[in-house]
Amino acid sequence: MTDDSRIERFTATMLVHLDAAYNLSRWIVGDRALAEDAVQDACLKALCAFESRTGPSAKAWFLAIVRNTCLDALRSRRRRGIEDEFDEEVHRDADSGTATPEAVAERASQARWIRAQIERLPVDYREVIVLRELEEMSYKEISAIVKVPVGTVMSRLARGRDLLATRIRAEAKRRPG
Amino acid sequence: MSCARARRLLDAWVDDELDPSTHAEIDAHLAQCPACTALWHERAALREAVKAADLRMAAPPSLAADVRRALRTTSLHAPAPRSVASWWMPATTGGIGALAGALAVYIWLSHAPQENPSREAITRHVAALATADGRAERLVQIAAADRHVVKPWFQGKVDFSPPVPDLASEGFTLLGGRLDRVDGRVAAVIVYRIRNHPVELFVWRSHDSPTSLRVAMDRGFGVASWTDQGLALAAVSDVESRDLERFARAMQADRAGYR
Repeated sequence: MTDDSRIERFTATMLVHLDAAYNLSRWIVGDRALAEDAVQDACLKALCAFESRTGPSAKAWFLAIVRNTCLDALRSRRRRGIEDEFDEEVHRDADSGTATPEAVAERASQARWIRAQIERLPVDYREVIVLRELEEMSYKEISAIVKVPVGTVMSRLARGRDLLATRIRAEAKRRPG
Repeated sequence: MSCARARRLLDAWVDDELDPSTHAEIDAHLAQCPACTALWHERAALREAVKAADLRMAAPPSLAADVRRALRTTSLHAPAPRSVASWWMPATTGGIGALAGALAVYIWLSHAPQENPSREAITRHVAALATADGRAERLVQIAAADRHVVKPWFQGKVDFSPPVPDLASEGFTLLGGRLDRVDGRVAAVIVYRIRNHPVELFVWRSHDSPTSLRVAMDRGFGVASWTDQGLALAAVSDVESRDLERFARAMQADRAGYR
C-alpha cells in the first residue's frame, strides 16, 4: 500500500477524533501549545501503528496513544524543571442573548469555578473524569486508554467525584444562595 | 444490600455500567434509603454542573492542517519516531511560529525552480527542521547513538547500504536516521549533531560518474556533496563550512576504509 493511501485511510478513521484528542491533551498537559504538539506527535505514532490497532474502539486506541504522548511530554518538561500549570484561558460562555447579563455572568463564573476544580484534581482522577463526563467513554474504553482494570476506573471516578462534591459543598457553605 | 456496597457501586450505577441484576438491586436500595438517595442526587447535580460548564475544548482549526502536513512530511513507511533529548533550542512551543515556518516552507517549495539534487537536499533539510520545530525526535524515525542500531534499520527500506560511521571522535554525535526523498528517489538520511547543530547526510542511488567533494552555500545552509560507488551523498547543515567539510572528509575517509 502506498503511503498516500495509508495516510488517507488514517485521516478518515482517526482525524474525526481530533477534537477528543486535543481535549484530552489539554486536560492532561494544560498548556495549549504543548497540547497541540502532543496531539501531532501522537498522530505520527498512531499512523505507524495504525494497521495493528487493538482494543474496544478506534477512538479508545487513538486516545491511549494521545495520553501516553501527553504523559511523556509532561515528564520531559519536568526534567527541564518547568512546573506544570494550566494556562488560565478565559472561556467564552456559550449562552445566547436571552439570559440576563447577571445570569450570564453567574453562569460563566460557575463554569470557571468548576473548571478550576477539575484542573486541581490529580491527573489520575482528572483524566477519568474528562474521559467519562466530557468524552462519554465507557468504563471498558477508559480502562483500555488508562491501562488499569475496569474496577480501578470505577474507584477513580468515584474518588474524583467525591473530591469535587466535597469542594462544591464547601463552596456552597462559603457563599450561600 | 448494605449502604457500603451501594455507595461503592453508586458511580457505576449512575454511569449505567452495572449488569441488570446488580442495577436492579441498587434501584431497590435507593427506594428505601434516603442517605444513599441524597448521595445520588449530589452526583446528578455534579454531572449537571459539569455539563453546564461546557468544559470540552475543541481543537483549534489549524491543528488538522498541521497534522496532515506532519503526516505527509514525516511519514514514509517506517516505525514511530522515538524520543531523544531535545537539542538545539530549548523546547520551543508549536503554535504560530511552527505554522508560519511550515507555511513559509510550503510557499517556497511550491515556487522553487527545478533544483539540482544537492540543493534539493537543503530544501528537504529545511522542511524537516520546520516540521521538527526544534525537537530532535521529529527529525529521526530511528533514534539511536549506536551505528549498529541505525544501520540495520535501513535494511529492506532502501536498496543500498548507507554509511553510518561513528564520528564521535570528530565531535559528531549520531542521533539516528530517517527516510526522505531526493531526486525522485528514496534517500537515507543519517542525522548527527555537533555543538547543538544538526548535520544531516542524505544518501541516495545515483548513476552519475564519481565526483569529488564540492561545498556550496545556499540560503545560509552549507551542502557538501560527492558521488561514490553508485551513491550520491550530500551533507547539509547550518554549521560553519569548515565543520561541514570536516564532516564530509571524515565520512569519505571512513568509506575509503571499507575498500
